[in-house]
Amino acid sequence: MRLTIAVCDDEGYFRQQITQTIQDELALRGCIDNTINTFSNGQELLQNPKQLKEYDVLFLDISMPGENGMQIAEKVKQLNEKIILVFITSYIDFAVEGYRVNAFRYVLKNSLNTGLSEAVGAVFQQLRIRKKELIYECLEGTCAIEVPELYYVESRRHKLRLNIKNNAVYTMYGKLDDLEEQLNAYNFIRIHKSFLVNYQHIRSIKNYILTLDNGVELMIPRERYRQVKEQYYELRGGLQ
Amino acid sequence: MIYIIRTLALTLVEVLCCRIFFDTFLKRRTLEHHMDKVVLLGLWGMMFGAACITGMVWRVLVVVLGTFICTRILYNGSFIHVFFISIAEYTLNLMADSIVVFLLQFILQVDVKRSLPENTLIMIMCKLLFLLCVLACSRYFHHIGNLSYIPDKDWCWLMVFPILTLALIAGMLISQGMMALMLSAFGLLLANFLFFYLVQDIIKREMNIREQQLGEIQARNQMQLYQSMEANYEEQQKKIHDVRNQMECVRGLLEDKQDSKALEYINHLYGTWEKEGAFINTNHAIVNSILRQKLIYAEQKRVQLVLEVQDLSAVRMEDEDLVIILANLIDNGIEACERLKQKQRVLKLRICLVKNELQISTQNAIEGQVQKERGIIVTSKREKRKHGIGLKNIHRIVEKYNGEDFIQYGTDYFTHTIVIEQ
Repeated sequence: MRLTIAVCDDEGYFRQQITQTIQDELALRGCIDNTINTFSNGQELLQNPKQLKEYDVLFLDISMPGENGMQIAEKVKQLNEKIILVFITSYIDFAVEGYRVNAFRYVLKNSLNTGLSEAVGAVFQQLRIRKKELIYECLEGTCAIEVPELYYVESRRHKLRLNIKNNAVYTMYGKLDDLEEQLNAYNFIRIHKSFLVNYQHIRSIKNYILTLDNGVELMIPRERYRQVKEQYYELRGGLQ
Repeated sequence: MIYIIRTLALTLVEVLCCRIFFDTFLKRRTLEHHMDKVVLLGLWGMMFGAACITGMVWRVLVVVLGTFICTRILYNGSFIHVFFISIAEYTLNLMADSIVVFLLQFILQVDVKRSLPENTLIMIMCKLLFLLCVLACSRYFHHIGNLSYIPDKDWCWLMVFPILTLALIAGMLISQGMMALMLSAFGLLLANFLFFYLVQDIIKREMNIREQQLGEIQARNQMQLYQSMEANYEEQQKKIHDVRNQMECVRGLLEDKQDSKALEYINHLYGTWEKEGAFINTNHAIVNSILRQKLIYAEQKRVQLVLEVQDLSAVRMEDEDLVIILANLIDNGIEACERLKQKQRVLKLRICLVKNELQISTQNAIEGQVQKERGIIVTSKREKRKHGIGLKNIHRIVEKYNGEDFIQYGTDYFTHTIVIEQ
């Protein structure tokens, strides 16, 4: 996996520290060929919107002269909705604005190494799933689906219906058990003998009904209900 | 055959009484691989063998010597001490026998040399009196054992059972036929009632202790919260004082017409204020306060607390309950992390409101297997008294709100999730 990373901090020392720690942590996970660009302020970062759209993750200092990190983050999010934001801060400062830009982590400068180590690990895990491309021979032809795009799989009369974003469906021959084994590493939950659901898209599980974030509702059998809930909350508990 | 079974049963009672008696006066050795049980089994066999010897002198010699050898293996103590205790135990046993025979023969006028079943009843009485004596010794001479902790009232309750049994057997020996049966039936009825009240009393006391422990924890949590709030207030007061001074300074500069310097000073102040906004804002005062306090605590314990929180202004829970859940969850997590290597000391906490559902979860790495006792997870705290209290407290509150509690763990992680409808 190859990552494109941006680091924005007004202090050169921290820029270098952050870059070095990210490189070390990614190397530990066997991820070597990455691009890391550094910026000393928000203006510099925002001046190339095309490049900004390419970044997978942004490590951003909150307190910088001129525009602060939070303001920059809002602009970055408008240009690159998918970008993962990791705030670097000198003080414990979890403000409500952080939720608006969907901050992934806040890392304290006084524990930069341990904080970044955890954050990079979590980012890596997130991107590992996000960037994984599944290639299947479907009735519609060969299709490549990124894991986050796949909402759920339904087994119907020896065929598997892959329900992806925008309510599109691909159909292929196969067994749900085999697909479950293959998708096990990407946090899929078997809620029914005929349904395999991507945990990332589960909005709620209530009264034996699982609701996906695209509004689709799926029934969970009584005998599986507790187990499905346990699996779901176990994955949720691990944070992102 | 009946004789053998009777002798086996009675000698087993003697061995058990022996154990209690020696526990009262001597300190146990730590033996490996159930060695103690093997020795006790040997003692039982030896006592059974002795019971078959007809010569009184030989029987006494075998019992005392056998008891002495077993006691030396099982307990610490000097040669003389152990020997003396062995003799004392046997003497007590004989005394109990003699007292029963004396009482029956001379006071109640019962002929002790009768048929096997009646003779067995007398033997049971002897052993019961022996047990009573041994228990009394344990109660009054043992300073570490469990019996010394029993209050006098309960002690009396407990003693009622052997005394009642003694009285019943004596009654059965005196009376005949139906009368004896009636007597024993009434006695059993009475014992049932006594047992019921005793159990009820124990449960009541247990509940009181539990309540007291819960109260202590609640008080501690509240105290921590108030301390944290007080610290916030003091900090605020300090800030107000600083701001007043800084304003005075700005006014001075403006009065001296040093506008640019005043502006520069104001800009400098903005910079410092921005940096000083060290707080976690979830739009919920109690959550903010706990998180702030626990972040500091985690830092002291060198545990990295990773938070995922959001706007929690819509959370509808009593402050006290929220404090108990959060404080216990975080404390449990930090405690587990403390046993790990520095790099693994990460505690993830997530507090989110999803579709009117409050989800609070913690996840941390663990070392080794999660310990369970009768299906309930126990902590490895050194203070045994507080075992599992935190988890019980959480369960109690989750139940109060009709919520759900999920605990999952593998070989290297532990996740605890609480889901409460809002």
